[in-house]
Amino acid sequence: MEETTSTISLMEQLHIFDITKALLILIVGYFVAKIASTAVLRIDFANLGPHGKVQLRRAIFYGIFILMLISALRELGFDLSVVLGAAGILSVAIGFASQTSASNLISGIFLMMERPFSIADVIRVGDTTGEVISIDLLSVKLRTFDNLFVRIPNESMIKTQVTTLTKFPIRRADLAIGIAYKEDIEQVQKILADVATKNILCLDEPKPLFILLGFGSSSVNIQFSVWSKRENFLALKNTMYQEIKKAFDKFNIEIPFPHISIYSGEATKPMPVSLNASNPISAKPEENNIASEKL
Amino acid sequence: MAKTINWWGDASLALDEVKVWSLGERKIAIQRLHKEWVIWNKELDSESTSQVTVTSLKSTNAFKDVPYSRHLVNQTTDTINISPMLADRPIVARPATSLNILPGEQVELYISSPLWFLMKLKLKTSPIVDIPFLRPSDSWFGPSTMEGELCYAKYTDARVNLAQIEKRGHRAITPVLIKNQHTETLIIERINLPAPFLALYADEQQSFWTQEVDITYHSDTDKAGLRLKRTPPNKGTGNMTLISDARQISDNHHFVKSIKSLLG
Repeated sequence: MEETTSTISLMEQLHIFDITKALLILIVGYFVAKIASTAVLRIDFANLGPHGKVQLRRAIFYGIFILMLISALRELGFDLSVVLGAAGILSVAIGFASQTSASNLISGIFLMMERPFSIADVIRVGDTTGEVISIDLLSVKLRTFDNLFVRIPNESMIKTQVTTLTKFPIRRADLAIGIAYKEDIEQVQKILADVATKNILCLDEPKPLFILLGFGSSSVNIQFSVWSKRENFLALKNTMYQEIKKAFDKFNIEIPFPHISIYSGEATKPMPVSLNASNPISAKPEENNIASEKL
Repeated sequence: MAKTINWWGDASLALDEVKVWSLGERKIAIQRLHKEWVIWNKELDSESTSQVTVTSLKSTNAFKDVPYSRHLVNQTTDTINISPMLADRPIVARPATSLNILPGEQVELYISSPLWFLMKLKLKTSPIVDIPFLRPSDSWFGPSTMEGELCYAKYTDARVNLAQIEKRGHRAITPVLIKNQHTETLIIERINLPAPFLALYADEQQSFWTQEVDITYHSDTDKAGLRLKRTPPNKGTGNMTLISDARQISDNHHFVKSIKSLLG
């Protein structure tokens, strides 16, 4: 009997009960938070996209878990105001030590408030284009179209230019077209307008845009901008280029490739070039073969 | 005039029979097999002026190179329901030149819009086929490229005179009454026809109609009231019969929208 009382008193001295209680609160709290956060998502909230759902789940999970953590600390006998005060000093020390993480964290909070994009949007950061799969406190995760997982730190997201490709329902495709100098530009404009009208993916409004970019080194450069539904962007680009090529072939409009004119200056006459048809070119390789055999 | 058989409504198919709905060279064929429906969709780039006809075939050789879809069921039934409907997006119509409606005046326009071919199995509400006879071009209607809605354009005219509209077997005519109660002249370059909210009727000559749409441009605001009548229009010949309800059924038949989202 004495032994048990002494063990109990020893356990009390070592705060075994408090620690067990605190641990129990933490474990139960973790599971309660997890169950509550997933259960809330079962209830279908109106107009809540995947982004909103993830944020709601996180808010509920961390809310419950932090409450449980505070009560666990209280069970252990910590005075919370002292803990918070100590945390203040500690955070300065940690802040200096982990500047990058802290800056990512703050950037993450700004990013969540600003919401330039949400989960399932397609964004372009630098040279990387991909679908947003998660927006976390430290980084944004993307899945690129060649199926790579890209983690972009929030700090660089805040600093650099981010383009959201899926913000608006319609998009413009700028088609770069070059035609030969001899072609009638007005006729080309008509042909392009006709191709755009016939293509059902190409929007009638906003109207296609024809811009004469100027005289290039070997072609007259044209930008033909057509609009499409966002989802049809690539299909429109592909079909338009194909149809333009077909139409140009039909109307004998030349799509030039770079030309190089050899000109020897004003003072001299054009360079004489003569073709010698009596000596067929096909004869040459045979001679070479014989030569190599001899070697 | 000899009464022609309607191409819509219930159609019966024997086992392995092929039924073809043709609009000139544009053809939609449905074959009934023991456990599946096979549907061929032969599209055409240009619009046909002919009427829709239904023929029965024994073999599917004519559709060898045509894309098809297969719909599996437990057991096929001998009747299917064909119900034409209006487009699934609003349709933009244009008058030949812009129309100016003076203050206090009203004008009636007629808009002809293409129909979609819907095939439903009996007792099932969702259609297994929902394709346009002629797919109109995509378009955008709204004040800017950020605000607005996707709709269909092309092949759609708005006429002041009903006689100018060609009556075609795969199009429905909507009478639109535009009242200008504003103090300024109303300029109409484009009209956004809310096709998904319109029901489809047919008259005794197999012409398709929808109920009338009234657009009232109220004074002192940039708002316009859009009202869809509940009754068929009194324009066609003889009695009108309801072919299909609107795609989006709304209890409210009166909408208030900004004038920019209705007329452009």
